[in-house]
Amino acid sequence: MTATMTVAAPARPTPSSTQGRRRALLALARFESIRMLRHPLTVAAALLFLAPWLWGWLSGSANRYPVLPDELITIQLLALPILGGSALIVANLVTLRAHRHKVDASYDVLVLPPAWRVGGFLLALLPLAGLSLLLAGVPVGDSAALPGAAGSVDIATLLTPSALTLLLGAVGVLAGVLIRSVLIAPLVVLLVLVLEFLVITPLIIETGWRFLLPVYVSEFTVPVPAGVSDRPAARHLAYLIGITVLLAAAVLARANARRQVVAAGLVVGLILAVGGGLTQSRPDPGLAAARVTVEERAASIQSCEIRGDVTYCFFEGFGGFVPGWDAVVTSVRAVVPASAASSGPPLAVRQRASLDAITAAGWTGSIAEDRRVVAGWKVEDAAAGTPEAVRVDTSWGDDRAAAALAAEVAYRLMAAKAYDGGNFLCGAPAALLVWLVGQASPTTLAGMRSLDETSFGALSFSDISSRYGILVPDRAAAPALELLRRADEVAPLVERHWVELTAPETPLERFGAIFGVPIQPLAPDDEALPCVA
Amino acid sequence: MTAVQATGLALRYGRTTALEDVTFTLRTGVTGLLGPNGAGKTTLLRIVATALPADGGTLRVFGHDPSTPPGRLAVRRLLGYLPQDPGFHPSFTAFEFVDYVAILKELTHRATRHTEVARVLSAVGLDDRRRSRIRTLSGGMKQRLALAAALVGDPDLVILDEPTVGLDPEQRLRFRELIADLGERKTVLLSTHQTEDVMSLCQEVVVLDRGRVRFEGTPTELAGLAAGRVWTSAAREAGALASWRTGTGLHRHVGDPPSGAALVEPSIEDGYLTLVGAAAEASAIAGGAR
Repeated sequence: MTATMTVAAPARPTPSSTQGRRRALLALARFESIRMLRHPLTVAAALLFLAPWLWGWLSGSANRYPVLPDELITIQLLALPILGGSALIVANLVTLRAHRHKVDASYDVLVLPPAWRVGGFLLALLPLAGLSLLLAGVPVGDSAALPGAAGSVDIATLLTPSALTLLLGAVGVLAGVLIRSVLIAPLVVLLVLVLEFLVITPLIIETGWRFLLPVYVSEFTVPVPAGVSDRPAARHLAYLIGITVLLAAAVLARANARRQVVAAGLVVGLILAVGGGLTQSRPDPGLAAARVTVEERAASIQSCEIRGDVTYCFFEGFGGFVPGWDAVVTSVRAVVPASAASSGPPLAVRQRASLDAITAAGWTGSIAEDRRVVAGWKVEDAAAGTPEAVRVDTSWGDDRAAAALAAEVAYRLMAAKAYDGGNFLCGAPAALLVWLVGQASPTTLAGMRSLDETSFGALSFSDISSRYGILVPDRAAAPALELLRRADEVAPLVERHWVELTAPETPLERFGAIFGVPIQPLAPDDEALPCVA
Repeated sequence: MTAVQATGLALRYGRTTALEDVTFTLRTGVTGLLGPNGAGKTTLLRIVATALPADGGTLRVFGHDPSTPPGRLAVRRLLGYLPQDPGFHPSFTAFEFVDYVAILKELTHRATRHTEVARVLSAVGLDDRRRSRIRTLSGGMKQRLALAAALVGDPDLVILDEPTVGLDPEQRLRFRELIADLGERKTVLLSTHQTEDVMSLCQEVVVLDRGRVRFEGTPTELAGLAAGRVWTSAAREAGALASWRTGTGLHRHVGDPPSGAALVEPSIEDGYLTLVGAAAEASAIAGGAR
């Protein structure tokens, strides 16, 4: 130790001024934010948050047809416990640091007042929120760059993970100033996890309570076209920011901040929280009309793209799915006789969203209701110049969706009309359809096998909505699945017996006779099945 | 110039009197605060450091009244305080810790602040450990780091509560060197049990005992309280206030010497012992009488 105190000119605190104090506040916020960003928990949370995306990227299992609004909702659900939870604990540790390390005695007599110090802790959360935005932006940006991406990135939804980080970070600071124990923060994170579990249950999703929750949860289980969601993201964001401002005001009040500052915080927080909270749950007068349009007059709001002799119509933002649909259509047409590949009206594929069939509560309609809706679609298709259009879902990218579309296309080529929905496909046509789907491509085969694994009693070519998913009884599917191993022998027979095999009245036994495969005896239950006429 | 003027300071914790009618003055230089355990030294330091309000009396620090918020703030701007058990953030580096304290002292300009932090770290001899995590520093280094934190911002009043506890002799000497240098320009209030620290550093000394000021003067004057009351002899003498065998083989006694005793020059320790011992004796007699 050497006494060199006179070497450098000492620096002294600047005389008291609001500007100087603000600078100190910013300096403290900067110092704390760097420590928060470098905290092992923050780093671990960032890695955990990115893990699903990294895994998909490294393993190649990522969906090549992501729907961006849905991706953002998933990201939000991950951000709440992971990014928000880590922000809560880290902010709590920062707030309690002086107490934990018994430095209070020294710090109590330093110049910057407690209210400004907690103000610095709150401000330090902003870079953490920036990190959340960056972390959310990485997978979303990656998805958006894919040619098959659908929908658009809503800025308010993209900012929601940041708002959640700020909100839970403010909870951490408030817990620190109220209770001097580091055990509280992990308990609050646990509570958040439990709440989030409740959020994703239909019990909450179907009620108005979901509007009060910090995460946006869609009432639909599959992607929906723009404009049919009942919770505007911008108002939800305002609601979150409002709660955060209220928490910050509570922190400042506890730290004896000036009354005017606390009052201003309360007013702004209340306006945002109450305003955003109420208006987000208020029914939008245009919403019902928008939903009717999407369900019943889709053609009026869709764009169409012609590829070869096939027309593909889709909701705004879903054009990226067309190449994927086209690949499936082409593969199915390749395994039917040339004459059948162009049977009926010009082939068209139209995207449909059956909103009340895809809510979190599941399908609540009836077969009769389904058939009525499908009949309406047929009328609309005819009016739009795409009669007997094949229907396709708003989800795309996995094998099961490809198999479901392949089944729809196969039926359309076999029957020269679109599937009517509701009833089972029976007899030889049912077995032929299964064989065509399996034969079309490895993707459709894998999808069909996957659907078969989760189907009981019948093979359902839809994993989401029963409204227009083709149903094939297991008795008809079994011989066709057996034949998939003998493609070379079967294909010529299919071509030769095409007309007979596609006739609705041809029994399954005839299919067995043509291809030499055993057919299960008709069970009493099978006799009762309502079959497509 | 008068830096601190305390008049009739008092503080009670329930029925216990911690301080009573404490009056003293501090000027530029090092003032030692001596007293037995429980005398109220730390309480007094905390009051002067604005960490604790007094129940009664008046206190002025460079003319500011710490009992008012603006006065308290003004005092804090001029203050460096090293508490008895300074805490540390183990994961901080030495530089980060002092930088953090500098921010809380409202040293707002980043470059200037960093220069100041480097200056005080250099002053306490931690220049080469500035990037070391505090958890890796020795006890002596931590004590120097706490001093650096107290000195950052060049405070006019430095309050040090037993800063040399736990330091080895070499570290203590270096600490003295530093505090002595500081005392040339600043007002330093040094609470300590080490009478040799007071003798070698302080221009003034205040002795506090059972919440009251028993003495205020120079170290020589404190030592002078024992003049004619310190003697040596070959054997222990039971009537002395204190008696011990020295390295020379002779016994040194403090108290009322017998006639013909070989009186010796009193030390500050003898003066302190005379002052506090006599008070304790008087208190014991008073207690016995009750």
